[in-house]
This record gives sequence, C-alpha cells and structure tokens, in this order.
Amino acid sequence: MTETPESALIERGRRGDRQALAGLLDRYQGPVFNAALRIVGNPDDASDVTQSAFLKAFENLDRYDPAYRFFSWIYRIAVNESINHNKRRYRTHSLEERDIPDHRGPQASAESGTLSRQLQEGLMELDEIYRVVVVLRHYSEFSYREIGEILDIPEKTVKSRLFTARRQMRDILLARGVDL
Amino acid sequence: MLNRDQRELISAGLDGELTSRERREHDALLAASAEARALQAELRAVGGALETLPEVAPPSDLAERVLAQATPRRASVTPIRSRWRRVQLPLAFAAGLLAAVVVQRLLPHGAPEDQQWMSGTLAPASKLPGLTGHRIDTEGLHGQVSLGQRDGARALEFRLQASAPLEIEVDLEGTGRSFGGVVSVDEAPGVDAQRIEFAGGTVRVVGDGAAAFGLLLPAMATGAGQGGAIRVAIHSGGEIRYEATFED
Repeated sequence: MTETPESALIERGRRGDRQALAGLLDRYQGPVFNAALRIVGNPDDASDVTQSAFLKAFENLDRYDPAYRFFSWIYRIAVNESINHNKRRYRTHSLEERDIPDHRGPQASAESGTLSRQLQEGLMELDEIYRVVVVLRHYSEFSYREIGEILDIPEKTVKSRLFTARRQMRDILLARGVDL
Repeated sequence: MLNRDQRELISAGLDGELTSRERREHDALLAASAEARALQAELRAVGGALETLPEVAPPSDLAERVLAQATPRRASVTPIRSRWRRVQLPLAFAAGLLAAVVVQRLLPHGAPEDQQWMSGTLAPASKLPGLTGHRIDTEGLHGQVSLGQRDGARALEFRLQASAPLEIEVDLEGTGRSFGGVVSVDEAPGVDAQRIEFAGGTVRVVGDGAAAFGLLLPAMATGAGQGGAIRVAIHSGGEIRYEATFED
C-alpha cells in the first residue's frame, strides 16, 4: 500500500482529521520518544514530554510553515519540551534531593546491560546543550544542518558542540570505569 | 599540538560532515599527526559506545492518549446570540428524554423527507423519520444529530449521551456558512460557551459526555450556503463514533 504523503497528513490534520493525526503520530512517536528519553533520562518523563510535544504540535498545526520540514518542527518542540521538563524537575528536586538523582525508570532498568546504564547516566551528566546535540546526532541521526535547523543554531556551532560533547562524554565514561 | 579547529575537523570527519576541501585537510592531518589519529580513535570509541544504547519502544497507549486530547486549531469565539442561555453540559442528560418532541418542534416543516443528505456514517445510525438527521445508537454514544432551520438560519442540533468526554467537529468549509452561535433547545440545556471553538471553517465543541444544543450556521452572503456539504464528526473515548455529511 502507498504511504500517505506527509504533506497530505498535515493538511488533513489541520482540518481535524484524526486519522491524519494518527498517521503523523505513527511516523514520529517512536523517534521523538527516544530522543526525549535520552534527554530527560527516564521513560515515564519521556512519555509525558512526547505527549506534550505532539499535543502542542497538533494544536498549532495552522502555524506550521511547510517551507520547513515537519520532522524539524516536531523535534524542535520535543527538544524544547524536554529542556523545560528538566528545568521544572530541577526546580522541584533541587531543594530536597542534593544527591545525584537516579534517573533510572522501569524501562531503563529493562536496559539490563551495565554499559547501557552507564551511558544513560553519563548522558545525564553532560551539560544539556551538549546532551541535546549528542542525542540528535547519535540517536536521531540528523545531519549538522538538520540539527542546526532544529536547535536554531549555526552548523558551525553544532560541529563545535559535538566535539566538546564527545570529549566530555569520554571523560565521564572513563570516570565511571567504562572501558572505551 | 592540534588546535581547536583541527580537533573539530576530526570530530566532523567521523560524522561525514566535511566539504571536499575539509576532507583533504582532514586526510593530510591524519597522515601527518599521531595525535590526530589518537584523537580520531578516541572520538570514534565514544561514538561507538553511545550508539550501543538500545532503542526503546514508546508506551503502547501513547498515541491513544495524544489523540484523546488533541484539539487542532484553538481560536475561541463568543457566540453572537447572547440572549440564549448557556448552561453546562452535565445537565444535558434530561434533554435526551425530550429529544424526539423537541426536535419535531425545531426542525423545518418543509424538509424533504426523501432528501439524500448524509453519507459515511461510521456508527450504527438510522434516519430520523420525517427529519433531516440521524438517531445514533452505538457503544459509547447514543442520541441524535439533525439539521434544521431556526430563525432563518440553518441549525445543527445535537442531543447526545456518551460514556466518555465528547468532541464534536462541524466542518463548514466550502458551504458558505459560518458559525452564528449556540442555542439551547427549549428546556434542554445548551452548552458552555467556553468549550466552543471556531476557526478555519470548523466548529469544535468539547463536552463532558452529554450534550444538547444547537449550532446556528447562517449563510455568510445572500445566496451562499446552498449546495455545500456540512461534515459532522463525533469523537469520544479516543475514537470516532459518528461521521456524516449533510447536504445543505
């Protein structure tokens, strides 16, 4: 069966067609959820962030500019939602949890390998601006141009942040005893 | 000692993000510098480790949760006919008991009974005898939808009872009609105006699971509103329960 063009789904979605919205969800909920998971650190929060991101996107479909790619738009919303979520969580927890928070949720626990846990926890130790570019590059496989579009930063900044992120991540992983 | 630009060049080389000129510079650097080769190996190892994190499936009910709450287009308007009282949806249950009588009073006497005015019903629905409308009787949604005339304007009437919150969409695009306000139906409750939105040619009403009201749909210009199709969709519990097209 021929896949419905994305532009048609968006147009129908603007008119409130639920099947079209479901089609957009079907295409993007997995990648958006995984990106959010790597930024916020646990699946429950990632689920909330993904839900919130899609709701915002759907409520504002009329404002979507087709000159830009839809995936850039939804990822931008999701990244912003993830960052805002982390800020709220930090504000909520900072007064009561002075220790490094345990970001592991049930799903993360299912990632049974020690390396996986170390990697996710290491990601959470990265400064957020670096974590986001790592996620978009290594887990969402976006090009520098696409990452720049999503984050609204120049490609040169993407390149620079990625280099710094990898160096920091190396130090974090080595400090955690990960054999690279 | 490598400078910052050279280090970033090596990092970008691992991502395949080099121009042809940069690629030549990159290759020359690696050929000439052991430090560059060590850095490349180091960054490659970090990248390789990062990419061992497995993909995780989103919760199975995530899409359903989103669709249950999704409300594209949110430009709210206030109904222009303020003299009709606006009451809350939960009171609408009583309206169901009066539905048949009320609809008989409100709808046009001259509506052609044999008019083919709808298509595409998803839920079990039967034509209301003598009226332009449907009786709906399906899991999670009961009641009726009908198209009539009120004070010189088309009026789309709803009397619905659902087991979950309702969302009603009336698409007027291409009909030459607009949203002229909400009316209560005799003693039956109307609908909270805060829950009504109109934008982009679509009226959207969100309710608590019960609804009894009329939507006024006046023609935007003389001669308009003839021959278009008014599309109605009713969602409840995350699913579409009823869908029909009323020929104007």
